[in-house]
Amino acid sequence: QISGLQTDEEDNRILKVKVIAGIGLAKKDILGASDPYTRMSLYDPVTGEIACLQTKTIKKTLDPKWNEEFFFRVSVTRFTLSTFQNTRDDFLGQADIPLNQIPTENPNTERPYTFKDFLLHPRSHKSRVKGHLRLKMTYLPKNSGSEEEAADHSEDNDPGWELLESQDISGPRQSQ
Amino acid sequence: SLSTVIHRTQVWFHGRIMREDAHKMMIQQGQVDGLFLLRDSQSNPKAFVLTLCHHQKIKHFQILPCEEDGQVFFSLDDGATKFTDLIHLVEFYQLNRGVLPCKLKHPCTAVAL
Repeated sequence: QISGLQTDEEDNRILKVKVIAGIGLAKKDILGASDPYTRMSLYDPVTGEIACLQTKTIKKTLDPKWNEEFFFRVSVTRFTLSTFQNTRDDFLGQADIPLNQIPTENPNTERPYTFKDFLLHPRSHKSRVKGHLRLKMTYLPKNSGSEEEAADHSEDNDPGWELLESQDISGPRQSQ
Repeated sequence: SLSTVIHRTQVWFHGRIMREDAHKMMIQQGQVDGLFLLRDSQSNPKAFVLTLCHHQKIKHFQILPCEEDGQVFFSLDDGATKFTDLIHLVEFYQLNRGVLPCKLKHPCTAVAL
Protein backbone atom coordinates (compact mmCIF):
# COMPACT_ATOMS: atom_id res chain seq x y z
CA GLN A 1 0.00 0.00 0.00
CA ILE A 2 2.30 2.73 -1.23
CA SER A 3 -0.44 5.34 -1.04
CA GLY A 4 -0.70 4.71 2.70
CA LEU A 5 3.02 5.04 3.18
CA GLN A 6 3.13 8.67 4.22
CA THR A 7 0.40 8.96 6.80
CA ASP A 8 -2.45 7.23 8.51
CA GLU A 9 -5.87 7.46 6.98
CA GLU A 10 -7.37 9.37 9.93
CA ASP A 11 -4.71 11.99 9.79
CA ASN A 12 -4.86 12.70 6.09
CA ARG A 13 -6.81 15.80 5.03
CA ILE A 14 -7.06 18.24 2.20
CA LEU A 15 -5.96 21.69 3.32
CA LYS A 16 -7.17 24.76 1.45
CA VAL A 17 -4.85 27.76 1.79
CA LYS A 18 -5.85 31.09 0.39
CA VAL A 19 -2.93 33.49 0.29
CA ILE A 20 -4.85 36.73 0.57
CA ALA A 21 -2.39 39.56 1.11
CA GLY A 22 0.75 40.93 2.64
CA ILE A 23 0.23 43.84 4.99
CA GLY A 24 2.89 46.48 5.65
CA LEU A 25 5.87 44.56 4.35
CA ALA A 26 9.38 45.87 4.95
CA LYS A 27 10.83 48.37 2.51
CA LYS A 28 13.78 46.83 0.69
CA ASP A 29 14.01 48.97 -2.38
CA ILE A 30 15.43 52.46 -2.06
CA LEU A 31 12.54 53.65 -4.17
CA GLY A 32 10.22 52.40 -1.46
CA ALA A 33 8.30 49.58 -3.12
CA SER A 34 9.08 45.94 -3.75
CA ASP A 35 7.76 43.21 -6.05
CA PRO A 36 6.74 40.64 -3.45
CA TYR A 37 5.59 37.04 -3.76
CA THR A 38 4.85 34.32 -1.23
CA ARG A 39 6.61 30.99 -1.26
CA MET A 40 5.11 28.08 0.62
CA SER A 41 6.87 24.94 1.72
CA LEU A 42 5.28 21.81 3.03
CA TYR A 43 7.57 19.92 5.43
CA ASP A 44 7.64 16.52 6.93
CA PRO A 45 9.96 16.83 9.95
CA VAL A 46 11.28 13.31 9.29
CA THR A 47 11.85 13.36 5.54
CA GLY A 48 12.21 17.11 4.99
CA GLU A 49 10.61 19.33 2.39
CA ILE A 50 7.87 17.67 0.38
CA ALA A 51 6.56 20.41 -1.85
CA CYS A 52 7.34 24.03 -2.55
CA LEU A 53 5.36 26.52 -4.57
CA GLN A 54 4.88 30.22 -5.00
CA THR A 55 2.30 32.86 -5.76
CA LYS A 56 2.53 35.36 -8.56
CA THR A 57 4.66 38.45 -8.10
CA ILE A 58 2.79 41.70 -7.45
CA LYS A 59 4.67 44.74 -8.72
CA LYS A 60 5.67 47.80 -6.70
CA THR A 61 3.83 47.45 -3.45
CA LEU A 62 4.31 46.84 0.26
CA ASP A 63 0.69 45.66 0.59
CA PRO A 64 0.38 43.02 -2.12
CA LYS A 65 -2.96 41.33 -2.72
CA TRP A 66 -2.53 37.84 -4.14
CA ASN A 67 -5.87 36.13 -3.50
CA GLU A 68 -4.50 32.82 -4.72
CA GLU A 69 -5.82 29.49 -3.54
CA PHE A 70 -3.90 26.24 -3.15
CA PHE A 71 -4.87 22.77 -2.04
CA PHE A 72 -2.57 20.34 -0.29
CA ARG A 73 -3.02 16.80 0.87
CA VAL A 74 -1.46 16.88 4.33
CA SER A 75 -0.88 14.83 7.43
CA VAL A 76 -2.50 17.06 10.05
CA THR A 77 -0.34 15.98 12.97
CA ARG A 78 2.91 15.57 11.12
CA PHE A 79 3.38 18.22 8.46
CA THR A 80 4.17 21.89 8.84
CA LEU A 81 3.64 24.67 6.37
CA SER A 82 6.18 27.47 6.15
CA THR A 83 5.58 30.66 4.25
CA PHE A 84 8.23 33.04 3.03
CA GLN A 85 7.71 36.56 1.83
CA ASN A 86 10.24 37.43 -0.82
CA THR A 87 11.10 39.76 -3.58
CA ARG A 88 13.34 38.53 -6.34
CA ASP A 89 16.42 39.51 -4.37
CA ASP A 90 15.32 39.93 -0.78
CA PHE A 91 13.79 38.03 2.07
CA LEU A 92 10.86 39.90 3.63
CA GLY A 93 9.87 37.58 6.46
CA GLN A 94 8.49 34.15 7.22
CA ALA A 95 5.71 32.52 9.19
CA ASP A 96 5.41 28.87 10.21
CA ILE A 97 1.87 27.59 10.30
CA PRO A 98 0.84 24.71 12.54
CA LEU A 99 -1.70 22.49 10.83
CA ASN A 100 -3.49 21.09 13.88
CA GLN A 101 -5.85 23.95 14.81
CA ILE A 102 -7.41 24.78 11.49
CA PRO A 103 -11.21 24.52 11.20
CA THR A 104 -12.97 22.23 8.76
CA GLU A 105 -14.97 24.03 6.11
CA ASN A 106 -18.70 23.53 6.23
CA PRO A 107 -19.72 23.29 2.55
CA ASN A 108 -23.18 24.70 3.30
CA THR A 109 -22.18 27.77 5.27
CA GLU A 110 -18.92 29.09 4.02
CA ARG A 111 -17.70 32.02 6.08
CA PRO A 112 -15.72 34.14 3.67
CA TYR A 113 -13.92 36.41 6.12
CA THR A 114 -12.29 33.96 8.50
CA PHE A 115 -8.76 34.92 7.70
CA LYS A 116 -5.86 35.19 10.09
CA ASP A 117 -2.93 37.59 10.03
CA PHE A 118 0.40 35.96 10.76
CA LEU A 119 3.24 38.09 12.07
CA LEU A 120 6.26 37.85 9.82
CA HIS A 121 9.43 36.70 11.54
CA PRO A 122 13.10 37.14 10.64
CA ARG A 123 15.17 34.08 9.81
CA SER A 124 18.45 35.45 11.17
CA HIS A 125 19.62 38.40 13.23
CA LYS A 126 20.42 40.19 9.99
CA SER A 127 16.86 40.08 8.62
CA ARG A 128 14.89 43.26 8.88
CA VAL A 129 11.27 42.30 8.53
CA LYS A 130 7.91 43.79 9.36
CA GLY A 131 4.27 43.34 8.61
CA HIS A 132 1.86 40.45 8.36
CA LEU A 133 0.74 37.76 5.99
CA ARG A 134 -3.03 37.31 5.70
CA LEU A 135 -4.13 33.73 5.09
CA LYS A 136 -7.40 31.88 5.11
CA MET A 137 -7.04 28.20 5.87
CA THR A 138 -9.61 25.46 6.18
CA TYR A 139 -9.72 21.71 5.83
CA LEU A 140 -12.16 20.32 3.33
CA PRO A 141 -14.76 18.01 4.85
CA LYS A 142 -13.61 14.40 4.87
CA ASN A 143 -14.43 12.31 1.81
CA SER A 144 -14.72 15.30 -0.44
CA GLY A 145 -12.45 16.35 -3.25
CA SER A 146 -11.63 19.96 -3.93
CA GLU A 147 -14.78 22.01 -3.86
CA GLU A 148 -15.55 22.44 -7.52
CA GLU A 149 -15.38 18.71 -7.98
CA ALA A 150 -17.66 17.77 -5.15
CA ALA A 151 -19.92 16.05 -7.67
CA ASP A 152 -17.07 14.32 -9.42
CA HIS A 153 -16.28 11.19 -7.42
CA SER A 154 -14.23 9.53 -10.09
CA GLU A 155 -12.39 7.28 -7.63
CA ASP A 156 -15.65 6.07 -6.16
CA ASN A 157 -16.61 4.67 -9.52
CA ASP A 158 -13.78 2.19 -9.37
CA PRO A 159 -15.64 -1.11 -9.64
CA GLY A 160 -13.37 -2.67 -7.03
CA TRP A 161 -14.94 -0.43 -4.43
CA GLU A 162 -18.57 -0.76 -5.39
CA LEU A 163 -18.49 -4.31 -4.08
CA LEU A 164 -17.49 -3.35 -0.57
CA GLU A 165 -19.96 -3.35 2.29
CA SER A 166 -20.55 -0.03 3.97
CA GLN A 167 -18.65 -0.97 7.15
CA ASP A 168 -15.51 -1.35 5.04
CA ILE A 169 -15.51 2.29 4.04
CA SER A 170 -13.06 3.09 6.80
CA GLY A 171 -10.57 0.63 5.31
CA PRO A 172 -7.56 1.59 3.22
CA ARG A 173 -8.02 4.78 1.34
CA GLN A 174 -8.46 4.62 -2.38
CA SER A 175 -5.23 4.39 -4.24
CA GLN A 176 -4.09 7.42 -6.14
CA SER B 1 17.14 6.93 -3.99
CA LEU B 2 13.57 6.09 -3.01
CA SER B 3 12.19 9.37 -4.27
CA THR B 4 13.33 8.65 -7.82
CA VAL B 5 11.66 5.21 -8.02
CA ILE B 6 8.70 5.35 -5.59
CA HIS B 7 6.25 6.25 -8.39
CA ARG B 8 6.98 3.00 -10.23
CA THR B 9 4.29 1.22 -8.23
CA GLN B 10 1.56 3.70 -9.21
CA VAL B 11 -1.16 2.80 -11.71
CA TRP B 12 -0.61 6.05 -13.62
CA PHE B 13 3.11 5.37 -14.22
CA HIS B 14 4.01 3.55 -17.42
CA GLY B 15 7.77 3.67 -17.52
CA ARG B 16 9.51 3.62 -20.88
CA ILE B 17 6.56 3.77 -23.24
CA MET B 18 6.78 5.86 -26.39
CA ARG B 19 4.81 9.04 -26.96
CA GLU B 20 2.79 7.24 -29.66
CA ASP B 21 1.83 4.49 -27.22
CA ALA B 22 0.77 7.08 -24.67
CA HIS B 23 -1.47 8.58 -27.38
CA LYS B 24 -3.00 5.19 -28.18
CA MET B 25 -3.75 4.52 -24.53
CA MET B 26 -5.40 7.92 -24.06
CA ILE B 27 -7.54 7.36 -27.14
CA GLN B 28 -8.51 3.87 -25.97
CA GLN B 29 -9.62 5.30 -22.66
CA GLY B 30 -11.88 7.86 -24.24
CA GLN B 31 -9.77 11.07 -24.18
CA VAL B 32 -11.82 12.46 -21.32
CA ASP B 33 -10.71 15.72 -19.71
CA GLY B 34 -8.14 15.11 -17.00
CA LEU B 35 -7.11 11.64 -18.20
CA PHE B 36 -3.40 11.41 -17.46
CA LEU B 37 -0.35 9.23 -17.21
CA LEU B 38 3.32 9.67 -16.41
CA ARG B 39 6.19 8.02 -18.26
CA ASP B 40 9.93 8.19 -18.66
CA SER B 41 11.17 10.87 -21.03
CA GLN B 42 12.54 9.50 -24.29
CA SER B 43 14.93 12.43 -24.75
CA ASN B 44 16.25 12.91 -21.21
CA PRO B 45 17.00 9.85 -19.06
CA LYS B 46 16.54 11.82 -15.84
CA ALA B 47 13.27 13.47 -16.84
CA PHE B 48 9.67 12.32 -16.96
CA VAL B 49 6.66 13.32 -19.02
CA LEU B 50 3.11 14.00 -17.93
CA THR B 51 0.68 13.14 -20.73
CA LEU B 52 -2.67 14.84 -20.17
CA CYS B 53 -5.91 14.96 -22.11
CA HIS B 54 -7.90 18.19 -22.33
CA HIS B 55 -10.61 19.17 -24.82
CA GLN B 56 -9.86 16.07 -26.90
CA LYS B 57 -6.23 17.10 -27.24
CA ILE B 58 -3.32 15.14 -25.83
CA LYS B 59 -0.60 17.30 -24.31
CA HIS B 60 2.82 16.47 -22.96
CA PHE B 61 4.55 18.26 -20.11
CA GLN B 62 8.17 17.59 -19.28
CA ILE B 63 8.93 17.00 -15.61
CA LEU B 64 12.52 17.92 -14.91
CA PRO B 65 14.61 17.09 -11.87
CA CYS B 66 16.48 19.88 -10.13
CA GLU B 67 18.87 19.58 -7.23
CA GLU B 68 18.88 21.89 -4.25
CA ASP B 69 21.15 21.34 -1.22
CA GLY B 70 21.68 17.74 -2.30
CA GLN B 71 17.95 17.08 -2.47
CA VAL B 72 16.30 16.22 -5.79
CA PHE B 73 13.02 17.94 -6.68
CA PHE B 74 10.73 17.45 -9.66
CA SER B 75 9.01 20.34 -11.39
CA LEU B 76 7.02 20.92 -14.55
CA ASP B 77 7.05 24.72 -14.31
CA ASP B 78 10.78 25.54 -14.13
CA GLY B 79 11.00 25.11 -10.38
CA ALA B 80 8.23 27.50 -9.32
CA THR B 81 6.33 24.46 -8.01
CA LYS B 82 8.42 21.48 -7.03
CA PHE B 83 8.10 18.17 -5.25
CA THR B 84 10.38 15.59 -3.70
CA ASP B 85 8.75 12.77 -5.65
CA LEU B 86 6.28 12.19 -8.46
CA ILE B 87 3.57 10.90 -6.13
CA HIS B 88 3.46 14.26 -4.38
CA LEU B 89 3.51 16.01 -7.74
CA VAL B 90 0.51 14.02 -8.95
CA GLU B 91 -1.34 14.55 -5.64
CA PHE B 92 -0.82 18.30 -5.97
CA TYR B 93 -2.03 18.51 -9.56
CA GLN B 94 -5.06 16.40 -8.68
CA LEU B 95 -6.02 19.26 -6.35
CA ASN B 96 -4.55 22.28 -8.19
CA ARG B 97 -4.49 23.20 -11.84
CA GLY B 98 -1.31 25.27 -11.62
CA VAL B 99 0.13 25.76 -15.11
CA LEU B 100 -1.83 22.83 -16.56
CA PRO B 101 -4.96 23.21 -18.71
CA CYS B 102 -6.94 21.18 -16.17
CA LYS B 103 -6.45 19.12 -13.02
CA LEU B 104 -5.41 15.47 -13.16
CA LYS B 105 -8.60 13.50 -12.76
CA HIS B 106 -8.48 10.00 -14.21
CA PRO B 107 -5.33 7.89 -14.17
CA CYS B 108 -4.83 6.21 -17.53
CA THR B 109 -4.17 2.61 -16.57
CA ALA B 110 -2.36 -0.06 -18.53
CA VAL B 111 -4.28 -1.52 -21.46
CA ALA B 112 -3.20 -4.01 -24.07
CA LEU B 113 -2.31 -2.11 -27.23
